[in-house]
Amino acid sequence: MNNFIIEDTKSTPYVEINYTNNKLILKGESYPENSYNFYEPIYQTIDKYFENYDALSADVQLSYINTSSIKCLMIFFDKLNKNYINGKDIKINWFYDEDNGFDYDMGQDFKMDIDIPFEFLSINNGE
Amino acid sequence: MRKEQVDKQFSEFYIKNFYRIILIVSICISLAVIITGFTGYGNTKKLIINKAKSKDIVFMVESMGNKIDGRIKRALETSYVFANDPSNIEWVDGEEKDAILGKKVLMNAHNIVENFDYNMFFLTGFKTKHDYFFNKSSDHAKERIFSEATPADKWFFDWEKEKKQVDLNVNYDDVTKDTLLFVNTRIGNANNPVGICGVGLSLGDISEEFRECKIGQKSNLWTIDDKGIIKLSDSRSDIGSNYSKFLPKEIISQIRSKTSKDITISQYENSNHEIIDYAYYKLSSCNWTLFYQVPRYESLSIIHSLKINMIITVFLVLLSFAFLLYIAFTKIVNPYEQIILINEELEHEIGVRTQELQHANEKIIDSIQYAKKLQESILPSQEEIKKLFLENFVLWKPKDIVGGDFFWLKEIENVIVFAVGDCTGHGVPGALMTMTVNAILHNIVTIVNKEDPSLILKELHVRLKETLNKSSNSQSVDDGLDIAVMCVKNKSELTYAGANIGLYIKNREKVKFLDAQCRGIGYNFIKINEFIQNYMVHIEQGDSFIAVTDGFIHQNGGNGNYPFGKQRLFNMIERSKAANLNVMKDEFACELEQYMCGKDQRDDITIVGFKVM
Repeated sequence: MNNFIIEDTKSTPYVEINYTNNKLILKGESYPENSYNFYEPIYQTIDKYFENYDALSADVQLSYINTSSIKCLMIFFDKLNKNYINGKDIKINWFYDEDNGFDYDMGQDFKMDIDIPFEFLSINNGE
Repeated sequence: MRKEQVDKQFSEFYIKNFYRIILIVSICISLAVIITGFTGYGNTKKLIINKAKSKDIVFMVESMGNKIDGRIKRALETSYVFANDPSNIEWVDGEEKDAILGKKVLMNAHNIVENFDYNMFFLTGFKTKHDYFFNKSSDHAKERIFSEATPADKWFFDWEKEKKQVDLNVNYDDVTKDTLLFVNTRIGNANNPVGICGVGLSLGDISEEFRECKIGQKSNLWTIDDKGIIKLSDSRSDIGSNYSKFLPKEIISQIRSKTSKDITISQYENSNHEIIDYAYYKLSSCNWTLFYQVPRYESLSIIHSLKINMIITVFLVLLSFAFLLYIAFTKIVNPYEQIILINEELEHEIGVRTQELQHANEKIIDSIQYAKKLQESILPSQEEIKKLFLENFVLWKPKDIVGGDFFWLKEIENVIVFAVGDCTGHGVPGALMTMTVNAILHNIVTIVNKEDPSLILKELHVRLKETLNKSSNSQSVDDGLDIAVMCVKNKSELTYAGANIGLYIKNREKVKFLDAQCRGIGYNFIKINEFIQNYMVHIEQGDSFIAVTDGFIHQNGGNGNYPFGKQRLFNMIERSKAANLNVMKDEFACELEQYMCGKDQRDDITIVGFKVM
């Protein structure tokens, strides 16, 4: 199966769902005019993914997320959380920029709502 | 400005190159045409000279020579036959006394003129010196006596002495007013000559033929006798002159020494440095020479006109070519002009579209401007707020003309309910939401509860879900809002509950932050049966309450273009030493503006603050 890839734009992040090494990558900024249009295909793909795969490691590095994207990501993490509760092996690596602050706060907010192992990794200490 | 400059540079560069190409192409083609023209001209010239030398001159001299030879030979034959006729000899020898014989002889003589188309025939006996001659037109023989005293008759007596057999003699005939060539033959044998007879040929027609045959005005066609006297010529004035008068010595000696009968052709340069082609031919019928000369430029007179034609042709070809090139480049295929035309067309089209868009935009903006009035009318006025609080400020900055941020104020009895909200999205969709939320909030506060913010939030959540997100399939819009609700009772007690909007309480340098209890209101994913905690605050003198929507912390800017962030916001509030809230508002607005540094606003931004006492 081909990997699911959306290239990044000024207002949307790079998205990759890799079937061979069971990885999800979200990287960039997210503030599209219509967030639902952007995240809807990702929801569908992740639902299908968990029909066939049992493990997922998500690497997230988002320097800015607007309000409606936050809502969309909440829905997305909620989906992951449901699968985690159903026994899938999922973990989240939240990469943040120490100079930013906003992204770390966001991560904290998301972490609060879900049960998935959630690790914070600073990109300043050399990845 | 810069673009115009670039355009100008481009066009100058283009035009320069364009003319350079035209110049190069023109030079190449002109060279080709000129080279072709001149090689053609040179080759033709060489060909014409060769032809003139090897064919034309030779042919003319040869045919003229043959003609003269033929005529002289024929005349010789005629006179020879007559001279050797025994009856003629007998009659002349008998001193022309035999009348019967005489009649026959004269008849023969007359027949010669008549039948062979000669101009004259004569016979004279040495004994009587009696000359009988016939003209072309006369029926009878004319008669006269040669006299030694007459200079014109001298040749007759010379002849008698020299005992010549055949001689050619050119004479001007008084009677016919014509120059005649006489071919004379001795009558009788060498031992016993009895007289002379001769055929007279008009030189007029030969001269005429000379004139017709020769090429060009400056050429000469002569017949020269063994003494070098010009006997026949195309021009009468030359006759009788010696050819040494006209020709260089070496040619004369060359002609003299020549013995063979074939045609000699060569050239010399005259005193005017003109090249003269000449040819000569020794006649076989006598020891005369036929000489022809023609200046080189005369035979090249054709090429002269050819040269003019060639130059005219080359010029015309170049001219028409230049014209064609000009037309082709300027009118038909000039890409620069085409680009300009297309550009103009496109610009016109863009102008029309822009105008259409402008109209549409104006319409939309007009309608949104009106919507703004509506939205502003539901927001509490500055007077209303002022009336209820000791001090206050409101910084309401929608990203677009209208926005999803709002604040709400209601005083019922001893309770003031103040709310700050941020509905999903911004612009018109956000504004629509604020209208709905406004109405629901009004309903809850006036009918259900005015003192318990937690209850108000729960109620708002339920009603909003009912209103907006009726079905829960993924196609439906999942919308909601962030909100902070504050109820101030008796101006001494404040109860706060928030959904994603916290409350800052600032008293001098001390800032306390009350975090929001839940992540939002109205969204399907929010489980609202969770307990939302109320914060109760006992208001102290100088307490400032500040609530900020997330547009503030989301705003990007600064060195790393990062969002403003919670920490920076907290520091900003903490740092402020403003004497009153109006000054604080200015400080916040100023810091935000500095941080944005001219960047676009990302979201609606609202920050409100108030002091109760």
